[in-house]
Amino acid sequence: MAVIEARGLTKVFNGAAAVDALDLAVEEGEVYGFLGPNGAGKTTTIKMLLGLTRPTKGSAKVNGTAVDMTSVAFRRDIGYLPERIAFYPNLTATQTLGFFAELKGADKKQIPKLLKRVGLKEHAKKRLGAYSKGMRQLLGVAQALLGDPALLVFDEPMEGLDPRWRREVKTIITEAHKDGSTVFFSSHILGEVEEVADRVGILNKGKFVAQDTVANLRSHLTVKSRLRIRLKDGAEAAGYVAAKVPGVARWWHSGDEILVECDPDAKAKVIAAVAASGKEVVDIRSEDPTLEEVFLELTDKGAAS
Amino acid sequence: MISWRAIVAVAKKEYLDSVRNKWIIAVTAIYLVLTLAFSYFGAASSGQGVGFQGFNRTVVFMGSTAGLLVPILSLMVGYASIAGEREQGSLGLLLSMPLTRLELVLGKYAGLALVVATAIVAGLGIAGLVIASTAGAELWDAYLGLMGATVLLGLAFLAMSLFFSSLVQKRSSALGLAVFLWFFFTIIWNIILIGVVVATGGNLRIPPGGGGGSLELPGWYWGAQLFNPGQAYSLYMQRAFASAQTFGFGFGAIPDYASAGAAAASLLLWAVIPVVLAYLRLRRSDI
Repeated sequence: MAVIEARGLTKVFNGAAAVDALDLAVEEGEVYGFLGPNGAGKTTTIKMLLGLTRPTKGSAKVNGTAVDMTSVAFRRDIGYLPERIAFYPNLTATQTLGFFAELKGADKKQIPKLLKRVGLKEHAKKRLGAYSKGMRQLLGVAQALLGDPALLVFDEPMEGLDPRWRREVKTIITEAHKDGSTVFFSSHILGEVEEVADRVGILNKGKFVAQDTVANLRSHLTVKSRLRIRLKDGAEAAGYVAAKVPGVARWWHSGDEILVECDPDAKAKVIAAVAASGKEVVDIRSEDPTLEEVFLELTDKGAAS
Repeated sequence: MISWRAIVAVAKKEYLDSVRNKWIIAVTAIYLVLTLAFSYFGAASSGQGVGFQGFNRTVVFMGSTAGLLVPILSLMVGYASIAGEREQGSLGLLLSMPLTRLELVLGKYAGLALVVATAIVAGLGIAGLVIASTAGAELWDAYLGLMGATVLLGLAFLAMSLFFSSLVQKRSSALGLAVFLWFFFTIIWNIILIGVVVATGGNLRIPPGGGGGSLELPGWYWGAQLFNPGQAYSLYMQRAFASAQTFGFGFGAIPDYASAGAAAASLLLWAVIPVVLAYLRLRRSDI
């Protein structure tokens, strides 16, 4: 059964479509990574799915019930973490979670456990006005987990967290997945999504440019890695050496530097070949394809097919 | 179908979040000090020396100053209630819960109303106890009436601030609207009304030699006051508890329909209608 189902979801702001006829189906128990650069329409889509923003066209179903701004039926089993979360500065963490538990009809006994889970146990009695951005984000995660909802909707959950808590949020997503929950989360960073998501949808300018499993997407991606090698001398000659390595697509040289565009797994071979040719390597920098390049690649493909 | 549990949860949150706001504690304290100060020093100007005066004078004085101060309290409590949450993003989280927008508005109003009522009852109540124990408790019923009407005035301005807060996207715009509301209802309103009275041939009489001028106010002037909660409050105090002379309004006869009951009904409507409007505004709006 599809937990989230959207058909032709469209939102027009000032004559421009922020979300353009989006079709989406997220199956029960799936972790879905909703990927796209800032401004692609991810948050607008999420807000439409939660009945916070009214679609200009199209409709959505969540938890089997039609999404409607005025109804609460479909909201009963959702844990939502908004983008840049904010709380009430004069309440403590315990009071805040207590308030949301009352609204959700969730058991308040969970609260200490959840606060511990996100590392805020020692700060439970502190006013949230004194919380840092990262602490608020973690409290937001705890809030979303109240009542063990069947669907978690996280908008940029790792934004503003240090690596340790980023890891922890990933673990929380993975565990929710194991418990059978469906997770729909957005990000603008490819690496955040590919580790935990079963399926990924890439949004650009309000439209999907790709929707596939992570493994399929990766094998289809033909965006090359780039290797920047600085040499003591003889850069051009080194370029000819690199060009002979299988997997190298193109190369340039400028001054004492060569830039090699190649398959990701050819990088080590290029470095080895250049070093073996007797040139003295001063510096190596590897540039992996940025998400923007992936988008460009995908949009070009979309236009060609 | 309305969930009372959800309304109570929101009301409780609003109350807890605002009651710790130092600003509100300050306004309550100012109100308390002002009431006591007037009661203590109020008679000095008429050469009776200092000392706590009875409720009679206090009611008269507070009846005219509460119209300025209470709206400030209410507007401060309410102006950011919706716009502030919308701007910082917590409104989206709140409305993602099983909570309808009607329940949200009712819960916010109930919680903030409790804050306003607590501040007014605490400020006037403590002052009342001090006055009663020093100058006697005569006319205590009028003082209770003052408290009740003042709470209603507070709710009227709270309701308006809630509505205006629902109209804008930013806390700063909401503050601007709140300042405008205060100026409009406490200052601009009377300038306009008096202006209309004069422009329509109202009888402005200034005795020879100047000083002590008076204005013969037409009946509609008093009717119009019912459309301003601050003025409806003064009208109520005047009709319910004192003669026109006590208030210094020797401005012509007040028509019968501008009665204490009509003034109270006006305050009540002011405390309700803007809340309905706030809901209608929020009902279908994008968060």
